[in-house]
This record gives sequence, C-alpha cells and structure tokens, in this order.
Amino acid sequence: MTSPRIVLMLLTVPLVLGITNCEEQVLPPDHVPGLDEPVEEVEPNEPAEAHADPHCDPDKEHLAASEPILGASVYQLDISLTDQDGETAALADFQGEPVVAALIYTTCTTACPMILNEVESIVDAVDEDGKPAKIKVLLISMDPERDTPEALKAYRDFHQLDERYVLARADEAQVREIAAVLGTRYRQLPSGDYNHSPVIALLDAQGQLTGRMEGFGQQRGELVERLRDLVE
Amino acid sequence: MKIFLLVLASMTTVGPGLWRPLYPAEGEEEITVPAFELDEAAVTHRQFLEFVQEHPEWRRDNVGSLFADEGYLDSWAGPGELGSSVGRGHPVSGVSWWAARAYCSSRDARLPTEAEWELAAQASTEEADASEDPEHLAQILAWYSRPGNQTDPVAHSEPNFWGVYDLHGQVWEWVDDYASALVANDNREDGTVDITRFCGAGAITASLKIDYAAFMRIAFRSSLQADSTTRNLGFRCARDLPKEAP
Repeated sequence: MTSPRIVLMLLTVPLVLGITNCEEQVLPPDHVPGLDEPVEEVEPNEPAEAHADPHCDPDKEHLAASEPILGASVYQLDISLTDQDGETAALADFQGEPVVAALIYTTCTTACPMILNEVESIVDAVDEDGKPAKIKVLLISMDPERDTPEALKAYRDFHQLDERYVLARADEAQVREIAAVLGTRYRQLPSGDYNHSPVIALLDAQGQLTGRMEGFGQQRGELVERLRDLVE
Repeated sequence: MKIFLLVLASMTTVGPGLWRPLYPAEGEEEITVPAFELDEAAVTHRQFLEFVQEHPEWRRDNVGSLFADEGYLDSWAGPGELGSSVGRGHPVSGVSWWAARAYCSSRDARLPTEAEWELAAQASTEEADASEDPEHLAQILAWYSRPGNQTDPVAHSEPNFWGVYDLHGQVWEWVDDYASALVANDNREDGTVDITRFCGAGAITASLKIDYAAFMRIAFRSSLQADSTTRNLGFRCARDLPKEAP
C-alpha cells in the first residue's frame, strides 16, 4: 500500500526562486506561513477552461530535479515497474525529466494504437531538427497478466520506438494507483479486453501532473506547448 | 457500550452471490461474487482519528495534495481533533480513495470492489437479493429526501440479510474500483451510450430500470477522482475470506 512521503520538509526548506501560486497549492493546508511564501506572483497563462480538468493544474512550475518530492508528485507512489527488458525500476526513478505517460495494453486494437500515435506525434513535435528532446515516454500496461516483458518488447520493436520509450508493467493493484493519478478509467471485460479512457498525461521533472488530454487531437497542441516549456 | 464497540470492529461474511451490473458488457450480465468479509459498519470518525494519530502522514496538515483535495477531513476541528460538532460514532466522511485505502491496509484489509459492495447492498433485512423489491427500493430512495449532511451513529438501524448496517441511508461509500464506472470511449459495442458524460442518458440499455438508486451510485462514482473528498462520502473495509487449509 502506498504511503505518502511527508512533505513537512517543505516547511523547513526555503524553496527556490520562481515559485508561483501553484506551489502554494501543493503545501499542506495548515502550512506555516512565511517560509514558503511566493517570491513572485505570476498570472496564469492558460485560459480558465484549461483548469477544468480536476487532474491537472497547468500553472504548476516545475522545480529542479534535486528538490524534495512535492506533495503533488506521483513519485510519492511506491510503485515497482518491470520494463520490456525485464529490468525492474521504481516509478520514482523517472524523476528528473519530463515524462509523457499513458496506460495501454499491447493486444488492444482500437484506442491504444491511437493513443500511441498521439504520443508519437507529441514527441515528434517537440523534437527539434531531428534532435531528440530530453524526455521519457512511459507506457504502462493495464493488462499485467498478458503483457509480459516479452510482449512489451515485441510491441516496442514492432512500433520501432526509440530508447526514450519505456514499456512497463506493474502488478494489478499498482496499475490501479497509476490509473488513479493519471485519471484513466478502465475496466476489464469478460473477454479479457479492457474498456478504458484514452488519457495521455504529462509529468514535469518532479512528477507533477502538468498536462493531460483525454480523447484525441483536440488538446494535442496545448500538450505540445507545455512539453516544450518543460524541455526548455 | 461493549456491544456497540464490538459491532464497530467486526466483519461479517457476505456472499457468495450473483450481481447484475446496471450496464453489463457482453458476457457480464451476471457476475459471480465469491464470499468475502465486509465491515458490518462504516468506519467512524473516531476510528479514523485513531488511524491518523497512528499514521500522522494522513493528517490533513501533512497529506500531499496528490492524495486528497482540500476538503479532506475538513469537518474536524483540527488535524488531530474532531471537535464537538463531529459525532465520534458517525461514519467518517471527507476521506479520499487513497486515505480510505491506507486505512483499510493498516487493518490488513482493503476496500470492497464495486461488485462486492453492490452484492451486499442489494440485500434487504429479509432477502439476499431485494433488487427488484419495490419496498426495498423505495426505502433506499427515501434516503435521498434527507439532507446529505445528516447522519446517525453507525449500526443505528437494522442490519441487512448479511448482518451489514447502513449501506444505504448514511453516506456514499468508496469502492476500490470506483474508476471502472463506466467507460465507453473504447467500447467496441458502440451503440451503447456515453454515460460517463451524460448521467442517466443510458437508461434504455440498463439491466434493471427500476433501480434508480443504482443509477445514482453509478453517476456518483463516475464523477469521483482518487483525491475527491465530500462530506457525504465515507467507506468501510473488506477482506478475502481466509483460505481453507488444504
């Protein structure tokens, strides 16, 4: 079971310059004022409707990777992933670079290929002049029973995904936790397939959810812009 | 008083039984739910206070925003005290899915699945499956005429067929797979409707159209996120039955 790493340390560590209102929101409600007051007030750049998604606060600025894990970070989750090569890593090991994340399963023939296409088009748009952006793409299977490392590797090879793409599996309870933080709704059907919402999420270097699209195409440009900002 | 405390702490066996999802996928018209153990009563404020005292990372002034929204335990007088306006023996509310899971995990238990919860909840005081009993359904609906912030002490009313109290009539309750209700974006059976976005629009495809309360539960669960908290959303814990020795 996951237990959150306490963010009390934030009360005692002065935060770096550039803190905005969004960092205020990740602090405990009864935090001690003064130590963590915003140095600079920054007006949100996004239109109000961009905040409608309850999973995502696009105003969150990301801090340096060396900063402590924040209260809004998915890297608080104690999740063990096994990748397409059978290597085991913690979800928190992805801290330090922006991550494009989605739940898929390799035998899915409808929405998942479209999710992958969307992810690839987002990544391609951020790569400049053929130079790969420093990001990771984390595609986690919602079907740990059938998606063995071998199946994940075959999928990765078939789609000729570069080394930034990590295909991974976790146990069922942990998949549920990952789905909870990404806001992916899913249900296994008697056939073994899944009904699921097509969600692509964007994590900053600290693991805060800073962008999210559900469905195809409509919010792609917004996500690309946000990822570009994170890469820069 | 002793008897009351025993009720708070104990589980009862529910099932096995059949549950018919309101919006079944093909082949899912009836789900066999194996027997399991379920808390007889919802977790109370007092019990949850003891939990946060033992696990201070779940105090409202410590918990990360990933795990609970700003309404987390906000009816309490303070992060570590209930105050006089909170009934100690009333069902706890204002608790996120993460916090409910953590509480159950601390008791070597888990949240019930939707199928388990619904199986338990379709029982009346007399029948294991009263899902088509008009009187039972009317009793459930009567709850909705009551203001959402009014609760009674748990185990205040008569237990149902399985010995479980208050599945209806007090607070909504978390289930572990709340996020499985219901998604249609990748539904190859299309022709079905997008009920996650249009509450009730799919009534024509529902398996049991008279069970209005079930529509409301699905709509409510569909609106939840893992960090959601409301003052009428609580939980109880479940557990697999002990495996019999070979």
